[in-house]
Amino acid sequence: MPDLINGSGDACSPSRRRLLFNLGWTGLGLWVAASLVGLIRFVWPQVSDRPSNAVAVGYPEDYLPGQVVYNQGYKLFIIRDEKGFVSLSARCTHLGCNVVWNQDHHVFLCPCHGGKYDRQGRNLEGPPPRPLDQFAVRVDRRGYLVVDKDRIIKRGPGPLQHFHSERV
Amino acid sequence: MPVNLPPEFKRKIFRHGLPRTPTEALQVPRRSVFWHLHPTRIFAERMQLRFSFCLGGISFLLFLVTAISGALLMIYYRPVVENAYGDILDLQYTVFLGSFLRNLHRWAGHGIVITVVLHMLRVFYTGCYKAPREFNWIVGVGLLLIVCGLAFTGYLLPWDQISYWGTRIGTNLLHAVPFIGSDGPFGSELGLRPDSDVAYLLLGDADLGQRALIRFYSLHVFILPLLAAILMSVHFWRVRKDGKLALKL
Repeated sequence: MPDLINGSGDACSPSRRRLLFNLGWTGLGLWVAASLVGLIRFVWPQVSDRPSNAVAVGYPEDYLPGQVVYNQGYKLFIIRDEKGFVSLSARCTHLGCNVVWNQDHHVFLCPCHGGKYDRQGRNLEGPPPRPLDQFAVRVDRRGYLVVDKDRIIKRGPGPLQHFHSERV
Repeated sequence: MPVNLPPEFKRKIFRHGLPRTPTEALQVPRRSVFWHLHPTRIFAERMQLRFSFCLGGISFLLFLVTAISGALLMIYYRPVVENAYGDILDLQYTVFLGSFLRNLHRWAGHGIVITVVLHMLRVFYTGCYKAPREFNWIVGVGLLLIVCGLAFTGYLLPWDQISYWGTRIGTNLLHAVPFIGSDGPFGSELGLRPDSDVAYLLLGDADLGQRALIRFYSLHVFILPLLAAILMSVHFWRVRKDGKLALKL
């Protein structure tokens, strides 16, 4: 009977024993690593009960080219120009007051600390540190213009990204 | 690959090193928490696979599989009437590996019922319920009933049509149990009504609803597994201590 504790079998050479030992532990390690990756991906949230912040703001035809329309209920602007549609948050990037559109000078003005943004939402004067937030815009299956307030488009100092509707 | 830990550090984790002599090997079951259910000495000829087919061991392995997969499913499942079915659909279609874990849990659960019954048949036909192991047979019957309870309570949790009506039929049968069911023998003589008998106790309500779902859930994920773990410890320990493992026919 072979000595099970010290494992002195003659059939297996030391180098083969070492190789099999390393292969076994490598396989076990790979299996554990794959299981951990699977576990983390399983636990990672894919579903949410939070209601969507996508809001319908009427039909695209409701907005005329060149218009800047303030939506009082959702605190955002719908801008339509020759390139398409844009939605900007009315929340001033300085301390969060609601900015207002000045049609005469074509600027967004913040009543709290005098922040000023141009028609593209870029900060021109005053304390605002960055341009107004831009929301994603789309047309849903029923033909409504939908602003997704959960999807804030990251923008630098450059021009706005326009939404082009095939219907318009 | 030698790991060069300081010897006192290793000794803090492993109180004793690997056994070097047969005498030390005999002391392992006495010294280790994981091995102490194991007997000190087993006769090789009594450990042959064709004596036991390892059916109890397979049942225990499947129990571990259901425990781990079930614990992961608990992360997404909510035992609320409004959410239960939707959470199952999320697991099935949205969550990464969700359908895999759910199927694993389901098939391992089915497998436990099958292997436990086969295990019982094996013990019966090899006469392993006889002295000195009569009590372990009784413990095993308790475990069989717990397995049935786990299967029955788990069946309701998806809260779809088949589980709802299946559980409805199963719990309606309780009304016909003598002495404790309202429609059973001596039920009406004892003054039992459908809202005061054993089915009412199990469901927490006269109807199958939110109360029943939360009761079945707590039974399925905590109370019954805890009882099963306690009885399994006794069962395994008695297998070893009562001796005469799987005698040759």
